[in-house]
Amino acid sequence: MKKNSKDQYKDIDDFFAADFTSNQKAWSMIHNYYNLILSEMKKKEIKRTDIAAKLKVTPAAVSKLLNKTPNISLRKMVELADSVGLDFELRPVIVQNEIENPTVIYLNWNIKSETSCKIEASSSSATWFPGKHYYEPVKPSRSTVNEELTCYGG
Amino acid sequence: MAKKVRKNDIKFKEITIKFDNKIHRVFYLVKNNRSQVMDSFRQLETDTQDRIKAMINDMAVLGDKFDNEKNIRWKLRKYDYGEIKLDCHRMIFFQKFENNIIFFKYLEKKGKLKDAVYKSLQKEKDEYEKEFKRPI
Repeated sequence: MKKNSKDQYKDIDDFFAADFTSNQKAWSMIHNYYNLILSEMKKKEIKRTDIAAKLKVTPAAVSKLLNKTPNISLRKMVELADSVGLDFELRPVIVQNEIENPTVIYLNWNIKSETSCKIEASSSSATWFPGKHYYEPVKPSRSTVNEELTCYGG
Repeated sequence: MAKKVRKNDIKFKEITIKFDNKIHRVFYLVKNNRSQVMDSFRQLETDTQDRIKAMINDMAVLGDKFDNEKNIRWKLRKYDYGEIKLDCHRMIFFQKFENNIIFFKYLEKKGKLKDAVYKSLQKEKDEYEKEFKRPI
């Protein structure tokens, strides 16, 4: 019997409806990271050659850095962010009750300007919110985990 | 007796975006029971599929604040549709009633597309746009 379109594309619908896998989370973070870097470059009219001069590398090496890959090293992320005026910090926070409150690791962005944005990540018992740039713990509610689970700008 | 196929049976299926803070709804075109864009999407490598899924979610949540010109062009110059471009993979979409994104075509081509291709895509887009009714 011929499948109707509802059944035919069920796998597609399921794929998009499923929670983000680690790879999808990594891509979303990378997209957001570069979104911020490129926006900052555009806003401040920073050219690739300017970044190359700051990082003491060739413009070709900067282009390579800007070719999005989830395997960009933390060091390169920090260097690149720094060169466009973004602060990047990784700050682990241990929450008192490990069972009730999962350990939360924050991956923070602080833009050195009037607009600031944070990318925050927590342990696996949380949900990834791409637009808000953070994972929201399932339990307990956001506000009780840490007041800093807030996104600015983005 | 051969079954009579209705010409250009056009439907739009919604993609589930799980995030509450989405500002766009995302659809894909199903024409005569087939979706060229999703049939092609199925054939892509898992990593590319993951990347596109992440990108579509970011588009739905951030809207045109998600300005990543190398990979997403919300509107092509001279035309009123956009594309996601990852390496040789292009997913063509248009926007309707402001907050709806409709993917209607997949193309595989590295480098520039000929203007004739863009013109033909514009025609296709115009045809589908007429059929797209404001979703409830």
